[in-house]
Amino acid sequence: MEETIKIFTGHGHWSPLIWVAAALGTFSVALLLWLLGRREHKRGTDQEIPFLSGERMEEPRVSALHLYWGFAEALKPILTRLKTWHSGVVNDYAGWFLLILAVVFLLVIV
Amino acid sequence: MSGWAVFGEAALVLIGGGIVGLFYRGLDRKIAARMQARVGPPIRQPFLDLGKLLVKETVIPKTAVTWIFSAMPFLAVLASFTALLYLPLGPFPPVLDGHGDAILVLYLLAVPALAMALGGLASGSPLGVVGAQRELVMLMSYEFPLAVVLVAVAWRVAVLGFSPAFSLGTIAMHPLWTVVGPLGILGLAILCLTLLVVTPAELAKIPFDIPEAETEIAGGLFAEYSGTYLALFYLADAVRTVVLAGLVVALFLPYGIAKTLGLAGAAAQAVDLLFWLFKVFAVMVVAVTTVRVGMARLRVEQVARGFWLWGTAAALGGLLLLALDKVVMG
Repeated sequence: MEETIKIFTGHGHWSPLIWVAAALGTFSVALLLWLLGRREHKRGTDQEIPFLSGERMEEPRVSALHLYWGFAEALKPILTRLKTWHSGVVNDYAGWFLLILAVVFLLVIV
Repeated sequence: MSGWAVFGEAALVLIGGGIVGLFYRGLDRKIAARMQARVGPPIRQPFLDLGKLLVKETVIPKTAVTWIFSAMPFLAVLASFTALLYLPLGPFPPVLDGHGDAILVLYLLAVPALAMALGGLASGSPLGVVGAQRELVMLMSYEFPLAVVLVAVAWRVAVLGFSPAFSLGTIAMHPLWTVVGPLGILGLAILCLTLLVVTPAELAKIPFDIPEAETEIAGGLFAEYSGTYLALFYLADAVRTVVLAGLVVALFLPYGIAKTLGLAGAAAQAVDLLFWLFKVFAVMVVAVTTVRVGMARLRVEQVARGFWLWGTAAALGGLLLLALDKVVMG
């Protein structure tokens, strides 16, 4: 039974069901802590307005476009170069695909 | 071992991990305060903080996606605590040895960061969303060097013929420092240093506290969390510190002192367990406490560039040195 629920990866392993059992045990303790704590708040008051240093929010959302700002900013030199390779021509993309596939095959065979 | 014995051990480790995590956080705050010539809070302060948070109101903002906002603190606790069960604890193998390896621990360490980011996004607060954005960028930056360090050590253990090489129990039982040559020692030192730099980033401590940045974005991810939910995140963070320091110890410092002292049996186990706790504490002081006292906050793009270029280069360099050492030493 135990072996059937274990995933072997060659040099490693894990048993998802055992983790789920451990997670359920931990969840019950966390739930107990939550039940012991104070769970209510004053509904319908200013408490429920997100904190913004006293400013009124006109648009509470931050655009998803900004999600990876720090990442894109940090790797700007590389990303800018990569962007120039995006010619929009399908033949170019197919060429890149074949080239990388050939390199991978070479690596695997060697 | 019977199922009940494993259950008992797991319960002991989970409760003990929570207590040790909070206790170490108290020590961290006290030591940091002394380094800054302050008296600092009492060592039991994290326990008091946790108790205080439990009696505070748990406010859910009206802009929040309630179920995600409420579920994420639980997810952070689940992942942080269950990771403890896959770590060797000094003389004792992992409680769930044979049921999960270092890759699982790697994933479990990433889950609390994802939970915090999702919680921040679900809060609907601009500050929470900015914090979440920063957390995601950080996560994308430090995960690769961390993975390379784990893979490098496991690869060298596998080459030595020990299996399963990715099991932290196996890695801890076969320290590499004494079986590799000079190049290998240099490679291991670089990998160890990389992991020590990743540690405060994974824990979002200064100089990597960018997702929270109290003085800048008022807590960011946690700006809208309060009461019991914040208490759960607080507990998860304390335990995650123990898990990360325990990971460093398992990979690079898995030595005991009982044999050197000529001890055997239960006394040897007790001494080695205490020594393991000391090593975890020492790693926390070196990688978290002293760093956060001595540095200022970095910007998110500096962190991304640092980990993607220098962190990755260092980790790959360490791996290359280990591989070269294998070729030279045979």
